[in-house]
Amino acid sequence: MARFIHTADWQIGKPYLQIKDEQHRFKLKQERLNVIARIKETVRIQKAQFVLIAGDLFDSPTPTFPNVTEVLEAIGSMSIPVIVIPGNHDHGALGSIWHNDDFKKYKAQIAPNLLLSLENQPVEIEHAVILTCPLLRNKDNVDPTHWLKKINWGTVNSLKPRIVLAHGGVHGFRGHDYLLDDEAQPSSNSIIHLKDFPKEEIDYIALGDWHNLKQVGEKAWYPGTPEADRFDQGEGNQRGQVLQVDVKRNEEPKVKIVPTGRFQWHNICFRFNGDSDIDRLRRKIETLTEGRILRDLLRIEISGVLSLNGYKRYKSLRIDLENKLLRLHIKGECYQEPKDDELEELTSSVENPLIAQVASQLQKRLQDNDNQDSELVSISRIALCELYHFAAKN
Amino acid sequence: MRLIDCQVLNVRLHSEISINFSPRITLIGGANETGKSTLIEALHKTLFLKATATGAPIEELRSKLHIGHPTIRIRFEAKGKTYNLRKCFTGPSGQISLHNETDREKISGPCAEDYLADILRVKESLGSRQAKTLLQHRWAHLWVKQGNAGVDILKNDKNYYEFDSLITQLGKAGGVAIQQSALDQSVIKKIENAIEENFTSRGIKKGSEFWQRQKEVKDAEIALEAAQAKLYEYEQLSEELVDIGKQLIHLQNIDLPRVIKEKKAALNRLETIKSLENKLNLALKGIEPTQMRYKTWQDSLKHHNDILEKINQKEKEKIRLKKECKEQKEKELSLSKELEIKQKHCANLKLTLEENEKRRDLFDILAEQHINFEAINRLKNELEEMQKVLKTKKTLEKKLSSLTKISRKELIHLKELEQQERDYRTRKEAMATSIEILATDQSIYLNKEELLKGEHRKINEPVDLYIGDNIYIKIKPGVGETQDNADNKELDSHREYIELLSKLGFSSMKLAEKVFEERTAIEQQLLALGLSKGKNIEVKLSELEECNLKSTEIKERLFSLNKYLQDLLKEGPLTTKRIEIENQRHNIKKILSHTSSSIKQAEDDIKQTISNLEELKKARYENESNLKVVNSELNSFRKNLISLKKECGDYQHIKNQIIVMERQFNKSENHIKAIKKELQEAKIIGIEADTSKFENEIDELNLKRTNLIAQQAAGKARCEDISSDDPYEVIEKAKVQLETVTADYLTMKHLSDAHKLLQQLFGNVQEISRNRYSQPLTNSIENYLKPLISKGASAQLNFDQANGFNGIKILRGKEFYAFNELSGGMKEQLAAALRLSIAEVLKSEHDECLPVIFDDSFTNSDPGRIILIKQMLIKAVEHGLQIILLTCDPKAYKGFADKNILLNQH
Repeated sequence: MARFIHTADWQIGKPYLQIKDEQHRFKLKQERLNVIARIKETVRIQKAQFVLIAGDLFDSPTPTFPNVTEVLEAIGSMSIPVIVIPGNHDHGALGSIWHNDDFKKYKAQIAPNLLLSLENQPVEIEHAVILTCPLLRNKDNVDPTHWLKKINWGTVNSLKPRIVLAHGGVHGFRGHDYLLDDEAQPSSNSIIHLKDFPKEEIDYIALGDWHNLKQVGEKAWYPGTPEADRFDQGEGNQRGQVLQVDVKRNEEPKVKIVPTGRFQWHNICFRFNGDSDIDRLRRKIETLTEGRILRDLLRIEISGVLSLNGYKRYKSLRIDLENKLLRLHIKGECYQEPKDDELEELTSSVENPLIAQVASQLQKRLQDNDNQDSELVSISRIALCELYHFAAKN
Repeated sequence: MRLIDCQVLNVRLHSEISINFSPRITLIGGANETGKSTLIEALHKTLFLKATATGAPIEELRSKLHIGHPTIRIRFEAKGKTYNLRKCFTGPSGQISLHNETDREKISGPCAEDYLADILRVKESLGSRQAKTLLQHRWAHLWVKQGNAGVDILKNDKNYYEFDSLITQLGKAGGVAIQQSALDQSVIKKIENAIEENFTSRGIKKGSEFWQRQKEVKDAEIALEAAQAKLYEYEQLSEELVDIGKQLIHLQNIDLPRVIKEKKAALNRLETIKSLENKLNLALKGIEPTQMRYKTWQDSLKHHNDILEKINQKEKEKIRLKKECKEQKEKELSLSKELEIKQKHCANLKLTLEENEKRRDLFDILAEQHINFEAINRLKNELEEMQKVLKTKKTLEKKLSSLTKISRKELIHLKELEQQERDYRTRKEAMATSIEILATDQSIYLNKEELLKGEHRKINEPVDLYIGDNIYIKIKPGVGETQDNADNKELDSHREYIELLSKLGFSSMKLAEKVFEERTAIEQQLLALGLSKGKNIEVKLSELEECNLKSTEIKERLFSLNKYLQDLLKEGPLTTKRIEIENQRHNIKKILSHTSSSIKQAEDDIKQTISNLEELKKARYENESNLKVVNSELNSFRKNLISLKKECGDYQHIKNQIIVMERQFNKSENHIKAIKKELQEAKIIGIEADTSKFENEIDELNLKRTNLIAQQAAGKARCEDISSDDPYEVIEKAKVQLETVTADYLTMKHLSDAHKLLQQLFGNVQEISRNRYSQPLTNSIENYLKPLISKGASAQLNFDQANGFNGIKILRGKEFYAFNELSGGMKEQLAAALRLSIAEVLKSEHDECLPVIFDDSFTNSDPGRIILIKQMLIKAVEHGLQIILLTCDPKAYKGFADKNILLNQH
C-alpha cells in the first residue's frame, strides 16, 4: 500500500493586486508559502511516502526567483519524493521556469527530492508508478492523458499502484469557469476524458485545476487549493485542504481530507432598504468573522439606496471594516439619495425658488424612471445629492 | 396720469404761454429757438423738483428777458381726480400749491411735495443736491428729450426705467413672480465653479482633475496593451519554441537520412550513364573516315555541277552584251543628226536677236533726241523771261539811287526831335505871363516899348514894366530860372532837329517823309522781282549749251545706226510722237526678251543632246569590254571542267561512288542511334543524378538545423528575458490599474455629468423666469413695430435679475441685430416702441394713462416712415397712452395730431 498526499494549484507568486494595502497583500502571498509547512506537518504526521502536485505549483510560467527558491526550500525540507507536473498557469514551454538553467541548478541544490516531469511518461518511484501528463503549452486543447490510450500497459510495472497525475478540466465537469468571479484567472483549456481510461489499469487519478474539493470519478479527485485564494462561488466551496490517499494496486483508493487553510474568504449579497440596514449589515459581518482580525476577506455585492445621512454612516462602516478585514471588496453600488425630509428641505424652499424647482425636476426624473440602475437615474441622483450639498447652509 | 393743460410764466424766452393738451396726440410745432424744449423741461422740473430747489436747475429756467420768477402751473388727471399743480421757483422760498379740483382740497408746502411724489409714484420730490444726479432719471423712459431718441435706454442703470415697478407689473401680468434668491445664485455659482474646475467652453480643461483621470485611463489602457503585447510575445515565443523542437527532431530523424539515401542511389545511376557515353564515343569515332570520304565525293560532284552552271550563265551573258552593243550604235547615229539641226536653229535665233538689239538702240536714241529737243525749247523760253525781269530791275534800281537816302530809324528820330521841339515850345508858352491893358491914363512901357490900351502881350522872359513916370515894375514869368531853362531847351532841340534835317539832306520834314515813302515802294517792288539775279541766267545758258551738245552727239549716234534707220523708214515714216516711240521701244524689248529665252532653251537642248550622246558612247565602250571579259572567263571554266574530269572521272562515276558511301554511312548511324537512345533513357531516370544537388540539400538541412538551434537559443533567451519581470504579473497589475482608474474616472464623470445636468436645469428654470418678464415686453415691442416692418416684427429681449433688461435685438432679414447695429432711423423707432411698451406696462400704476413726450424724436426717420410712426403712436393712444410730440418741422406731421399748437418766434 502506498500513502501519499495529493495537492494542486498552489499558485505560488499569485500577486493579489486587487488588494490595495501592500501589507495585506504580502500576508496573503506569504500564507501560500506558509501552508507548505502545514502540508509538511501532515506528511510527517500521516507518514506519507510521497507528495503529488497536480499542476500550477506557480502562478505563472515565469515566477520570480525569490518565490521559486523559497518553494524549493520548503519542498526540499520534506525529504520524500515530491512529483510535480506543469499546469496551465506554469506550463512547461521552453522559455518557462522549468527550463531555466538557474532553476535546474537550485532544484539540484535545494530540493533534490523534487521530481519534475516534462514528458508524458511513467515515472516509477519506490512505492508507485506515476503516469505524468504535464501541460507543455498554455493553449493546448489536447487531452493531456491522450498518450495513456496508446500505452502498452505490459511495459508498466503492474505490482506497484499506478497513479495518473494530470492537470485540466474533465469531460462532463469542466470545473467551473469562474464566470461569477470578477477576479478569477482562466482555467486550463485541456479536457480529460475520464471515461476512456481502462479502469483496471489505473488505481488513482490525481487531478489539478479546479480550486475546490471535488471527486469527479470513482478514482478521480480534485483536492482544491491548500489555502483558499478566492471568494466563494456558488456551491462546493471547500478549500484549504490536501488529500491523504491510500492506494493499492487493483483496489479502491481511500481518500481522507486534511484541512490546511488559515484565511477565511466570504462572499455575501446585501441590499439597503433603509438607513436601519446599516446596523443589520454590521451584525451580519460580525457573525461571519467571529471577532477575528485581519484573517478574513469579504466580498459584498451591495445594492439599494441610503439617505444622505445614512450614506455618511455607511462610509464610516466601510472604513471600520477595511481596518479589521484583510480585504473588503465591495461590488456594486449603494446609492445615496436625499430622503423625504432632506428632499422636502430642497423642494419646498419658498425663499429659494430656483433650487426648489430644480430639485423637484430631479426628484421627478428619479420617480418616473423605471430602471433605477440606469446611468441617467444615477446621474440625476448624484445631481440631487450635489444640489443638497451645494445648498447646505454651511 | 394725463396732462390736461399748463401755463408757463417767466421761463427763459417765454413770458407767458398756455397750452391745452389733447388726451390723445398733441403736436407742438415751432422753429428752432421757439422754446419747445424749454417748455418740456419746465414741465419736467415742475413735476419732479421741489419748489424750494435752488442752483443750476432753477437758474436754467430763469428768464433774462422777463422780470419775475419762473412760475409753472400744470393741470392733470391722476388717481381718478383732477389736480392743479402750481410751483413758483423763487429759490429757498419757492412755493407749491396742489389743488385737488375734484374734491376741492388744496395743500401746499412740503406736504404738497410728498403728495405729488406719491401721485407720480416716485420716492420723493428732488431737492437741489439730488437734482444733479437723479433728476435726469425721473421718467426718463417717458420723457424723450432732444437727442435721446436714438439711445438704448436699457444700456442705463435699471432705475432709469423704473425697473422695480416694471417687474411688479410684469409679474402681476405673468402670475407669481419667480425671483432667484441669493442662495439660488450662490448654488448656481458653485455649480458653475465646479464645472469650471474641469471644463472650459471648448472642452476639458488641460491639467484639471478630470483631464488627469481621463489621462490615467488612457495611460492604463496603453500600459495594459503593452503588457498584453509582451505576454503575447512570450506566449508566441513559447509556441515557436515547441515548433522549433519539433522541426529539429523531424530534421534529424527524417529529412537528413532520406537525403543521404537518395544521394547514394543517384551515384549508381551516374555510373551507368558514364559507360554508355563511352560506348557512344567509340561508335562516333568509327564512323568518322567514312564520313570524310563521303564528303570528298560530294564536294567533287558539287564542283562539277558548279562549273557547268557557270559556263551556261556566261554564254547567256555574252549574247546579251552583243545585242546591246548593236542597239547602242544605231542610237548614236540618230542623235548626231538631231544635234546638227538644233545647232542651226540656234544660230538663226542669234541673228534675229542682234538685229532687234540694234533697232532697240535706234529707238532709244530717237527717244533721247525727242527729250533733248523739248529741253532746249523750255530753256530758251525761260531765258527770255529772265532777261525781261532783269531789265525792269535795273530801271527800279536806277530810280532808287536817284532818291536821297533815309532809313526808317532816321525818319523816326527826326520825328521825335520835331516832337521834342514842339513839346518844349508848348511848355514855354504855358509858362508865359500874359499882359493886357484894359484901361490906362498913363503911358506904359514894356522893356521900353509902349503898350497901348487893348494891347495884349505874352511875356516869356523877365521884363521891366514902366507905368507912368514913377512906377517901375520887374516882371518874371514863372520862376525866372525855369523860364530861361525852357527857352534854352527849346532852342537846343530846334537846333538838333535842323541839324539832323540838313544832315539827311532834306529841307523839311514833309519832304523827308515823302522820299521815305517812295523809297519804300521801290524797295518792295524790287523785293517782289525776287532773287532772279544774273547768276540764274548763266546757269540756264550753260544748261542750254549742254542740250545743244547732246543734240549733236545724238545725231552722230543716229548716223552710226543709219542702216537700221533706213530700214525703219522703209517700213513707213518715222513718228514724231513720243508716246508712239515709247510704244515701239516697249514692243522691241518684248521681242528681245522672247528671242533671248528661245536661244537659251535651244542651247540647253543642244547641251543635253551632246551629253546624251556621250553617255551612250560610254555605255557602249563598257559593254564591249565586258564582252571581252566574258569570253576569257568562258575559256577558263572550260579548262577547269576538263581538269576535273581527268582527276575524278566523269559525272556518272562520281554519282556511283556517292551511292556506295551512303549505304555504309546509314549502317553506322543506325548503330549510334541505338546507343543514344539507351543513353537518353538512362539520363531521364538519372535526371536527379546530380550529386551536388544532394550535397547542397544536406548542407541546407545542416544549416537549417544550426539556424533552428540558434533560433531556439535566442527564443529561450528572449523568453527568459521577458519572464524576468513576470509578464503575467505585469498584466495583472495593468488590469488592476485600469480597473481602478476607470472606476475613478467614471465617478468623476458621473459627478461632472451631474453638475452639468444641474447647470442645465438651473438654466432652464432661469430661462422660464426670464421669459416671464421679457416676453410681454417683447410682444408689445413687436406689436408697436408691426406697422414699420412690412413682414412683421420679431424682437428679442434678455432679462436678468441683477442687471435688468438688456440685449434688445430685432430681426432684419434672417438675422437678429443688436440695437447699436441698427440704422439711425430704426434705432429711434425701436427705442420709441420700447418706451411705449414700458409705458403701457407701467400705466396701470398711473390710472391707466401715462404721457409720453417725444421731443424731435424722429429726425432720422425718412418722410415716408412718418405715416407709419403715426400708426405706431395711434396704437399707443388706443392703448391708453397720451402722446406729446414736439417738432421743428410741423408740416411733416400734418394731420398727425388731435391738437396742433404752433410756437412763434419771440
